[in-house]
Amino acid sequence: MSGVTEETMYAAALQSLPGLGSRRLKTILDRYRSAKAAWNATWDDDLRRRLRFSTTSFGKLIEERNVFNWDGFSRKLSFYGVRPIALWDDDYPCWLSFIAQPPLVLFCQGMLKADRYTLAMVGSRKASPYGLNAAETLAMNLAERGITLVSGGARGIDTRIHAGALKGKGRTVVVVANGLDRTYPRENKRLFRDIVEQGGAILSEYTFGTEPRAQHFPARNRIIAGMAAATVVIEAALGSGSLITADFALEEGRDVFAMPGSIFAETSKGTNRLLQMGAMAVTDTDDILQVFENRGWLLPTAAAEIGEAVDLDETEKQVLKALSMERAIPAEDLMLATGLALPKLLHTLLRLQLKKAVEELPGGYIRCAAAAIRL
Amino acid sequence: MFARISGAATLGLGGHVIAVETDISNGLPSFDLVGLASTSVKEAKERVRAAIKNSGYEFPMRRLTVNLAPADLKKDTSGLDLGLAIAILASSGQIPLEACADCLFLGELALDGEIRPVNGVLPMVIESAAQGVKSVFVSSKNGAEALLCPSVTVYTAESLSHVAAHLKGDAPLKPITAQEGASDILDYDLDFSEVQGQAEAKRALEIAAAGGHNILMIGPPGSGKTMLAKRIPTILPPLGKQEALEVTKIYSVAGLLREGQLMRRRPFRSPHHTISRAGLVGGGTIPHPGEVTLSHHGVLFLDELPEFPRSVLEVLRQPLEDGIVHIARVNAALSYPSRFVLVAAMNPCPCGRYGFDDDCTCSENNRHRYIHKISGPLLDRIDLHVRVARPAYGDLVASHGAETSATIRDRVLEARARQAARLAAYDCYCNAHMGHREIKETCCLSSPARDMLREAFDLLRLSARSYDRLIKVAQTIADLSGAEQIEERHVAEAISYRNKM
Repeated sequence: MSGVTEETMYAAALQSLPGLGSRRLKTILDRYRSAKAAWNATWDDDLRRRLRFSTTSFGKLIEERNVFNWDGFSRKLSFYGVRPIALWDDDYPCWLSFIAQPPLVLFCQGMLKADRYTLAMVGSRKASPYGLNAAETLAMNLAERGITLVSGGARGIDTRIHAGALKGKGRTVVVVANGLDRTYPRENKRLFRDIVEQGGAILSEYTFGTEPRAQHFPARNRIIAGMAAATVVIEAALGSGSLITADFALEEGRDVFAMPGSIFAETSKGTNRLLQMGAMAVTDTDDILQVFENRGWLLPTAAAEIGEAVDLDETEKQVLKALSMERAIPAEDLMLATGLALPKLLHTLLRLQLKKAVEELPGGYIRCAAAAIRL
Repeated sequence: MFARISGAATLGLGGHVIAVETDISNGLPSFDLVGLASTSVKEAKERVRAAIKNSGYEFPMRRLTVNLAPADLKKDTSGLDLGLAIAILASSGQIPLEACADCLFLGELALDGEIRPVNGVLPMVIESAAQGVKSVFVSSKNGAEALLCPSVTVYTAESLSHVAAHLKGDAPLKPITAQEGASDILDYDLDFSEVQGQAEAKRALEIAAAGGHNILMIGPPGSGKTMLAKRIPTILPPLGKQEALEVTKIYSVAGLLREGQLMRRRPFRSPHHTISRAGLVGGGTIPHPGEVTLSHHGVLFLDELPEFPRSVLEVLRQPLEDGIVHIARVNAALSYPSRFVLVAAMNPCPCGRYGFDDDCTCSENNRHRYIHKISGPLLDRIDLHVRVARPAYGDLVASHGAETSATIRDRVLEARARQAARLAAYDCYCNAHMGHREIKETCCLSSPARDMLREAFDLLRLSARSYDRLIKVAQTIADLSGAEQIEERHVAEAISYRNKM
């Protein structure tokens, strides 16, 4: 592949062998000094002891190395448009190299730059309309300000974060827990394609053919937290994966933000706990930007001009007032609140949807903060 | 001696005149029945023998041959019993053969000679009348049905001996006449005013009724989807004369016609979700009409749509598209009409609360699997998608009356009249049946409407296939409001009833 050094290819091949995680790879590289040397060396019993392998699994590892299909590997790389990026490459995410166990190689679809202004945003898969709405709005506003958003591409909040970043015409990076020849969740295929097309990237530590397994997700979360200058948790129940991401961020000494939620909502118990423990509360974009500024990081100039507020006529304003930003309201209730006849109401709601001020959810209509309102 | 008498049988929805030919010759006593008779016809031998004996006539103890012509048509009806008995009596000289000319005999015989009603009388009588039959003899329970064909004289008889006496001239029967009574005003036990609230769903149902559109209601359990669906027939226009006759024929063949009256109400069928494919579209060695045909010109209501087996739902595609089902089996290939309004109801997820209540307990996966049971092509054929939320307590106890069915029906009738006038030149009478050509030639959008449609297409990612559907619905909404062309507000409302899954 063009632009990929031989050394990086050998590192990628090493990482593709089963049983070699970032810790063991580090041991190997420390011993042989280069990936190429490590690949071609005779792996002796001394190495086995250092890697803490059993004889049988070490034998298997050597066998795997001997039958490694280089042709197939590079064919897959070019077929899926994937580029391996190793720890020593220039475009390896700059924040990530500082964590305790940085992945040796990242498989990357799309464009990766050594972004400085990266922010991880995470949240649960099962989220409330409030969380989804806030996620998209925050993501859009931050992306417009030129911040690269990192998230996990999962259902729920993650998906909305990426969608929001795309709406804000910004860069966003997905870190997945499976090989890049698979798409999980499947329904996000189109979203991922849009992300790559808009200059973002899909990243994975795992080689081709790896299924998204439960044990991969915490490791994936360490990359999400590690890539970012700070982590924002939008909504998380107690014991959710988003809290693991926040833990990783804390261990690496990065800032953690949490969005306050209702004390009754299960989906906000985790974030409220984070706040209790000293996380910074997110109530608008400036809360985050301010911290970036205080840390002395220079903010890039706004990527996109902030859109002008949409102009609405009287009826539209009246309907908008009756809507909530936290839950979907059925048309029936809107009729009562506004006193409009149904055909007229539906007409107004559609006009508002076209102006992106309202969104339709399974249970009714919700005021879409991402358009007319800035957080 | 030889005799030929007219009987009739049905195949599909069509009646066929069957010539019952008997011949008595000398020889050892025997009774042979030829001419592709099914089991129920072969068993007629025993019934006829007993009925003739018990009616006071003599069963000829000679060599008796009966032929049912045309010989290649499979006959599957017990209605040939009466014709068979009369033919035997005529050929044995016990009744005059001339008296049986231009007569049709339909009825199953009891062993004591009593005449029992049979299915499919209406199509058989209509076909016979077309072939020159003047008078029809049926059981008294079939009398009203036979009378629906105006060009024949109908005699009803209690038993074989009455018919024989009439033919001999001993005790002539009186032809029966139609009993006027049923008026065009239909009264239903149900009314839309009983449903409180649900303005959005009611409006969508009104549009569905006005344009003949298929509709899908999505809502949590207990929100009133079934209650609403049951009231749809009350706002549909009454059946026209021709439609009523078609529907009556179908019900007659299916044996579901009560009292033999003309069907004036539109059929409303709601099969349970355990129904088989054959039950839905029709089937059997000689295919019988299924639920889609029984709901011809009416409503087919599928409650709990995702609970239906997927393969069953997929067979709905052809009838929904063409308004007709072609069923081919080894013994016969038949076509049944099936132009119905599909009304479907479903929950948004297995627990039924997603989007309507906060405490939905379904996983994302489960919800997807539930919704994906309904295929895209089927959803594409459903014009209106509407949410039905649980009514608020205030709605339930509200004393102010909601609109009655009669008021809604008046608007529907008006809209239908507009459609019929506009589509008179084409082979359809309501908006839902319009094809691409009809839409192009008759639907006229104002320019703001066009703009809105274009904008909505980009933003809401509407599929190309939904374009025609949107225009059809918008046209119906325009018809309901009495507008000459489709305005922006009509398009907007139509879009808000789009597929949201």
